Amino acid sequence: MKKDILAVFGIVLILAVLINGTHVQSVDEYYLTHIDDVTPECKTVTLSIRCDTIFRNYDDLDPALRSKEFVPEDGVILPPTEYVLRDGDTVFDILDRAVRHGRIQMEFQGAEENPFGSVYIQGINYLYEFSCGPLSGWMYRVDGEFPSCGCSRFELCDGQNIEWVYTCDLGQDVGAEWIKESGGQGK
Amino acid sequence: MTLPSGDKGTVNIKKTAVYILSLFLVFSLLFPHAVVTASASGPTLTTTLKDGAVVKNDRLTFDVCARNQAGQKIASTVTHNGERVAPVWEDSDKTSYTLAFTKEGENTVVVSASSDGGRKKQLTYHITYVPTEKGQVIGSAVISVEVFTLGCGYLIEPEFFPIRAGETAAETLVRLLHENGFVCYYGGAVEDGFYLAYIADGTASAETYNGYKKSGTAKDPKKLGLTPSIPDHLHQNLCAGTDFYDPGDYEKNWEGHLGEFVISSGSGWMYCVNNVFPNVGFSDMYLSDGDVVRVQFTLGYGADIGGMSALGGQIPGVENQPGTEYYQTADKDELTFAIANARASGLLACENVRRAYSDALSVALQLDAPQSAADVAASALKSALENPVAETENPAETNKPAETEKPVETEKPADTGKPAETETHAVTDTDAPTDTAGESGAPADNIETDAPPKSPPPLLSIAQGIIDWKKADVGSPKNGDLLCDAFLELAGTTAGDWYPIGLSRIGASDNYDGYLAVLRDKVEERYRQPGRLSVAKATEWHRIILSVLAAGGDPTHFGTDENGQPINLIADGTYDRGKTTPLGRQGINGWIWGLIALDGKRYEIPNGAYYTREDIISEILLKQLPDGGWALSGKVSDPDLTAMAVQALAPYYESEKDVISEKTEADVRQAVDTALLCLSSMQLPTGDYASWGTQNVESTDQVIIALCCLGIDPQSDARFIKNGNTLLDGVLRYRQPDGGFAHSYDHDPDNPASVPGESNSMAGEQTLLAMAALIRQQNGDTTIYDFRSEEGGGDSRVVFSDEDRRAVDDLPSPLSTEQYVTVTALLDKLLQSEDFFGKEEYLQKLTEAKVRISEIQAEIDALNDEIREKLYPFESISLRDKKTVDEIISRYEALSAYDRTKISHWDDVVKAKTQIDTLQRGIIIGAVLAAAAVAASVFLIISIRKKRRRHADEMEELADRFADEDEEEDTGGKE
Repeated sequence: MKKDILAVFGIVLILAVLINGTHVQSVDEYYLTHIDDVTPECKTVTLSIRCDTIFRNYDDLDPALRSKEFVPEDGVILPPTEYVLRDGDTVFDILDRAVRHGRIQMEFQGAEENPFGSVYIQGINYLYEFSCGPLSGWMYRVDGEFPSCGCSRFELCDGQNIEWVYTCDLGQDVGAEWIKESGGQGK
Repeated sequence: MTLPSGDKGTVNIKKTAVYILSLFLVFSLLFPHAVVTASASGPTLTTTLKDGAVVKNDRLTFDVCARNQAGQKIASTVTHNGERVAPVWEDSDKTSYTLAFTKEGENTVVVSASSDGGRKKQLTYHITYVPTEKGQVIGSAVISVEVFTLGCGYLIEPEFFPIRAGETAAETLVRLLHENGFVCYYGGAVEDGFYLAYIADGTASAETYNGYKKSGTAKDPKKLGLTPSIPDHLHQNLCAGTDFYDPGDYEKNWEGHLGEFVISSGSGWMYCVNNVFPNVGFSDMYLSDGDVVRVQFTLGYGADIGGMSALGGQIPGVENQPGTEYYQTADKDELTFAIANARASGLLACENVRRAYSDALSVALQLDAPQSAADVAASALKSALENPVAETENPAETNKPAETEKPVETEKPADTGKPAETETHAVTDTDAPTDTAGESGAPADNIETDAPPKSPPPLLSIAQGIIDWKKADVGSPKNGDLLCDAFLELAGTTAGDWYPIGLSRIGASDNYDGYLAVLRDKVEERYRQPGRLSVAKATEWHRIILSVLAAGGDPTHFGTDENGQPINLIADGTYDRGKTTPLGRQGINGWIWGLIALDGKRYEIPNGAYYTREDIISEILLKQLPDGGWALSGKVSDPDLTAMAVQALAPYYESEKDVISEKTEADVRQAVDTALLCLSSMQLPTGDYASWGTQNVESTDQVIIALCCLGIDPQSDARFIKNGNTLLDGVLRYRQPDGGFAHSYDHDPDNPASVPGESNSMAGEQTLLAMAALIRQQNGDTTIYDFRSEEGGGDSRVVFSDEDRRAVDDLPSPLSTEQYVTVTALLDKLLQSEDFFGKEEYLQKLTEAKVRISEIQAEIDALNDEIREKLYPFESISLRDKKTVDEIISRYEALSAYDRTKISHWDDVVKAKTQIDTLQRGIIIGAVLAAAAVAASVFLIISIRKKRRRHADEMEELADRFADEDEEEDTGGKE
């Protein structure tokens, strides 16, 4: 009788494990595969990408880009999304991860290829610099402010909010008041 | 249920197995991600202890640095002969322990740390303790007291100073100060809690100073004798980085006392032992034989002397410490040791030793001296000491004690004279006319150092200074080419194309052929992409056109497109640009540079072209602002764009006016005249300009170029001399001691790569262009963007030299994209070279190499695309992707180590692979478990059935028996 109970117990356990799913991993493997999982303890930042300034300058937009595919109806290419912040992550690292995971097109110029020594974002979702007039291009805000350095030089802290915004007027249309003396990601 | 007794053993085994299985199952239920395999490397552990060391002091302080895999600091454990040792100090980086030796002979010290799921790392040290009576000399340390941050050199030059058993570093330091004629004021006690507040004149008599005790009496009292003159770059940092900072504070308030809060709120004494700023104070440190101790005065919480991490340092208010070091500092221990050695050697009378010694001192004193300079100076001094040149060689010189005593002062001016030394190497004689060559010859050194400050250095030496700086920046030797392989990687980018133009326009010889070869290859490659050089930016063409012209190439036939047609950069980038995208799509820049590029050789515009010259000119004129200048946006003129517009219009102001209508000609004339007034009004009293709110050198450079294009001499035109300062004076304000130029002295949010007051690549290239413009004007050459006098390439005979052949023979196998530049340049040269025996073979080898490298590059691109396409988002990775991931991995593994670095986000591939492995493992384990469950069920069912059957049998039997009994009873009853 005892043996039967033991056997039943065993079967129940096995079934429970099977239902629970078997993930047998080492600690390293666990951390590796869960590095980007948002948990209550981990440091995170929020990132969004929008291009609504284009609606006010639609006439300047490259005719080839006048489509919902490139300029979504609400101007939102990526709604605010939380990402795990790894140590030393810059604004560029988070953007790069976000567009890879979100399968959004992005093209940039490497830090060594321009005299500013920082990565320069040329285009996101096929919207490039100068796609909507001579003063258009991508800029970023962190916690509402436009930082004065390139995106691969800005190291992030826990809880910061990054917004990539498309400007059609060298930043003036996205609230960069100081722009009279400056030029976004670097001229 | 009974079983044959022989099977009892099997039952036990089965039972145990079931138990183990159950335990495992419970375990894995409770910890679904339990540790099953432990394969990782675990924590890293380093210490400043040395195994096998012999210690004579009864105390030894050392640091432990323990980190987990994620790089975070973790706790460490130290046992000394089995007994646990408590830490004496911890900071974010390391933990300090002090060993107290009681056991003579070998002592065992074990340092361990564990992390990451219990993995442990352990280091064992065997240290021999030789007890020595307290106070007995146990060796010597090299100690120096440095006030480099005040520009005052050494307070106490490095010397071998005896250390005594049982003596703390504080006691040693106090003895050192007294023997050198100084005293100090300190807090705490020399045995415990010692805090070095001030080092003071030996003649100071007050027993306390600001509440700190005087250390005792100095032998032969001396005054500090300091006249602070804070180095410029440090001055900039301090102005920005400290709450209080007054360079004159020492003379005003502290004369004779140097320590905390003197001159800046971040000042005080710090010390490093063997190039580590210890956590612990002087009184917790015990020195050993051979240590190098540098006591240094900081003005910026340690950030000025490389002591940022030492939060346990001696500086009050470290919480105000800046986030990063102000600049890179070198490990100068070898150098300090060599200086002490030289002083102790008595060989300073020897010419070569003295020279090496004074070189060493000047490097030691430079706060931000690069490591290479420190190493070179140290080894030069060391070898001079090993082979001293007898003093008889130059007896007159050795009788100059002043030079050996104060080598600092004699060395300094030589530094600023450096750029002049090498100019004759890089500038070919044929191109540099005699008057400039004479001016820039040997006497340059003296002119620069002795002449009154108003007289500017020769233009060529300024240009050469920039070239030398840039060579150092890209890692090319001084006598080598600036356009080396590392630089050529950047051909066709904004960072790579302006230097070749500047170089060529001053007539310097360099590797222009290699540059053209790589640039042509890159242009051909980009022409195969949909947007060609750029979708929106016509200036990509313009810059490349100018650099092709500068390097001696032909921009109208520059490589071939995919249809085999010659690439005409002039047509595609200027007059026919409008057929695809308006020239001005990116703004006024496009029109201006389009015109400059078009006029590089005054190219004729064919009939049927999209734009005429007048079209482009009138677009530029149209964009002129009411105040006479031009700007990227807004209504306020910007000096850079105004200057560039003038550069573009300049040919039509005078010489080329016949090609345009009279109306346009008058318009150009008026536009340029008002633009000059506008530029003149924007010039600052210092001679330079501010653009976008930042005073900078590049705007000034562009104005110089504009004036030169018009044939105006910027040095004498009264409109461009302000307060006695010319444009050149304005430019020279930004010249740095390293020969390069700083963008600005202010922080510029617009140019984040530039550090205020530090040489910067863009500032260098534009100043080089301005110097080229001035030099060409002096020599009566064509203006800087007028290439009509340049002969197209192919005029001279190209020889494929032995060196080139060797380079081909030395190509590694297998090839990687690392050889791209080398192979491209060699192949180009070989194709142009004269025939020689074996040319075919080289041609075949290089062509194959070129093809192979293109294939590898294509594979790298494809692999990057594959990763981007197939592996995201991570959540959707399933077993179905196993084949894809395995294939990506095997393709990656087929690449060379260099090429692998070109694969981005490889970590995501590893992650995907791990995920798939886990899923697969889960399925295998699931299958095993399912099989076990089935087996157990079968076993259960069988046993239950058996039991039932037996039960049934028994019942039957019983029934039979009852039936029999009943029958018996029945029959019996009947009877």
